Amino acid sequence: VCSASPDHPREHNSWVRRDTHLPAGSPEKMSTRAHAHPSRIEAHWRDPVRALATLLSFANTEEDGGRDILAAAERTNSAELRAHLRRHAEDELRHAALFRAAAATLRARGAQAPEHTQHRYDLRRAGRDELDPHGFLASHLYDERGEVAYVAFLHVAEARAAEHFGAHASATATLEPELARLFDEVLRDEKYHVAYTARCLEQWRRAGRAREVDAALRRARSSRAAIAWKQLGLRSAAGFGTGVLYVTYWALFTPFALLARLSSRTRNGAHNGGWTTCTSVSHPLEGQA
Amino acid sequence: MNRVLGVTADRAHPAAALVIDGVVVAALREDQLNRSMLGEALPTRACQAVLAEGGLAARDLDLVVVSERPLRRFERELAGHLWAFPNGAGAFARSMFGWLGERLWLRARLAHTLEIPPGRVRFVEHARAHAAAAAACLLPDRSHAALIVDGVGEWATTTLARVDSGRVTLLEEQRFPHSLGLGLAACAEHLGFAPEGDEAALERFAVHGVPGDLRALAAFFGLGDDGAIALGAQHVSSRRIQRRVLESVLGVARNPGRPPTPSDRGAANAAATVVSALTEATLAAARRLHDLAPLSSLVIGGTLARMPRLVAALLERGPFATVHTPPWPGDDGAALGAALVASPSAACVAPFLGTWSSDGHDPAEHIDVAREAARLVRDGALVGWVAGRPAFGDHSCGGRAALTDPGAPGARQRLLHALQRSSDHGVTWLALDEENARAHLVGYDRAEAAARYGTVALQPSAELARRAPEALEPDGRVRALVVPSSSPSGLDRVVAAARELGLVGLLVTDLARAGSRPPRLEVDALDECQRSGLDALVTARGIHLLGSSTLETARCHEPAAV
Repeated sequence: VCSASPDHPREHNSWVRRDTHLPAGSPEKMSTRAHAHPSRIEAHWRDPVRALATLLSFANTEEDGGRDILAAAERTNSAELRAHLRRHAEDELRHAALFRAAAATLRARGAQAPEHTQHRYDLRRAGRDELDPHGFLASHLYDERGEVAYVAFLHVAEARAAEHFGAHASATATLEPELARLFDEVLRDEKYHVAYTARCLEQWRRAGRAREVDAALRRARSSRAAIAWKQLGLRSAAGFGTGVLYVTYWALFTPFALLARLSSRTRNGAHNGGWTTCTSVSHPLEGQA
Repeated sequence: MNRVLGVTADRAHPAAALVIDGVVVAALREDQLNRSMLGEALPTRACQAVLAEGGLAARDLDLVVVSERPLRRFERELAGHLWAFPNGAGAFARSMFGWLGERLWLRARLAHTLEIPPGRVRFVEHARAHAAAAAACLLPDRSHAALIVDGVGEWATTTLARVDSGRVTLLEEQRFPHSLGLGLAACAEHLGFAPEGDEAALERFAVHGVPGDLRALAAFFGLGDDGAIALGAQHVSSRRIQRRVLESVLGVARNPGRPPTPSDRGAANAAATVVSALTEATLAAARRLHDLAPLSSLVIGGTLARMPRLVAALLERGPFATVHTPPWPGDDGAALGAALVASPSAACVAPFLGTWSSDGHDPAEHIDVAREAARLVRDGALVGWVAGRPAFGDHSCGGRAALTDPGAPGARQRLLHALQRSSDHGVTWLALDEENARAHLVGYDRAEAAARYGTVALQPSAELARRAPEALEPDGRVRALVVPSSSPSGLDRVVAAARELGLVGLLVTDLARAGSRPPRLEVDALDECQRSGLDALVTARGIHLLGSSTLETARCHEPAAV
């Protein structure tokens, strides 16, 4: 499927050079610009708690992606694509280990991860059929949509990841040179991932499957846009809703809480523990309350 | 025909179980399918998978039974916030956001997801579902006393019940916030363990310490002589107050997620004190249950049922002749229990209820493969084993296992380190056949069912202790996993082959690295093994010998069919 060998030495990284000569109209071009402002990214890495949380999150994303890709490699019939996907999975798992090591270094310097996320019920996790908990790959995408869609999805996601890691590498270049080197290393691999997926798609296109490839790419890009749009809406709603509930707590809850406290003092025994006899239920499956 | 889908939703381990005319067809946790450990949502994929296993569409279901009553739980949550006022504005906002957004509308969400009329969605008390699930592994025509010691269901935290031929009668309960389970979670978290799921690790760690003065902890829990407790609402609702009180009782809080090592004597003594206090309270509750339901058989469910030494204490010092814990004591098991409340089981339920496809192949069918696996183990290799349907519940019951020789020095540490787990806190079992179990485990005849699913720690004979030193826990006990002949896990053939080679049994742990679940499919098992330090994997396709450089060096030998 994909003509080049995945077993190139990482130091030479011939894929990256080839990437600059991708044919015109290649599926996805990497941008050197990040979406977030560089100063915001720098501020992010200056805060050890956020930096630690981000590194752990990157590690989880890479590890989860690696597992998905490895599972996809087991499913494909093409030996060459399997080799690329396996190399890709290895890269992702190695990245996860690198990010974990960086997190451990940060922890050794005294940074602590924030408490476990309380956002389980946050609307931000909505659209759960499309979003994995950690990242960009929908589970079982390979089985559900097939080879071309999977590689297209990988291609778009990897191009985006390369863009992000590039921004992080530049932002940490002076602040955390060690971290910048890590991002550079990851970025080299991400460029290879973008390049081999691009080549696969290009070859399928030449083999007469151009419409299928274009549709898959459109779908991959549009689903990212749709998710981004949905997340924006949900984040706004979640923030607004939480604010309303804070106000409710102090405005409406106060009198009831005071009454409850008074009641528990006067009744003396409602919450003192001890065994309570259960009422017999003739129809255990009736009612919600 | 009575087709019932049991569901646990909006809890830590969402799960689904399908029961048709009293026969459990399949049961699955959602995290076995989506690999997400976050949980707390609808088990959509698990529902689809168990329905597919039963060859049904959702519209064919007669009932969908949820393992709790959400409005009662909402009432309890509101009351908790009222008691905690003015602490916890943030917790209120977060909690109510979830409740008002999703949880309150569980019936509509389930009906919409499964595309069934809302009237078919029913609800059952959480404790009732736990009790039905706890008794499911035993003969259904007997009566059993059921002790459910949980964190909290709707209001009930500890429940005394009896189960007669699958029909559950709730007798007495303690209500929120007076909860042994929540108290244990708070203490576990204070000592650096996970608040839920690390109960067995905390108990194992406690063996290294000496219980201190129980009075301070008894005062924290408000322990009474009859097993009743009186925990302050503020202790549960406000983390700040909880931390202050616990620091006065257990010393300085440890880093979350970094459990202490046995060399930390202070932490070990604190853990021993906690476990001792909880054991005494549970024993007192069991005695009260025996007064209410004077039966010979006790089943335990809920959070504290995950503690094998507590189960052993109930066996050795409690009033019941036999004690049993199911392999699914947690919320996932409640899904099965909910379905069984609507359609009581007609037979003992084995834990191998997951879904998988192996193209009709099973390594257990190949005696040569079992022999080869046993030979590798005898030669000192760490071997992965995947056979049959995945188990439902907390661990894989031998169906997705990593094996080694229990007599080889350092084998336990090597096995756990290969799976990136801590040798101080990782759980291992000694897989034995029934004959060896009867000969070498003290009290096996009284805890037969619990030993079959590895949920009890028993005293070994001197000979077993000599031949399997790596299987001994720090207190000299053994967590036995007794494998009956023709086990769906296929492990019985490896155990038999190992016995022929002179091994008394196999040291077993779940085939899962730290933080992950045992794999469901063969491909996931291979992935797990390739990223661990195991030497070989035995699956339906044969024996994969794994090199240190993982992916490229995996080789596969087709077994010779019998």
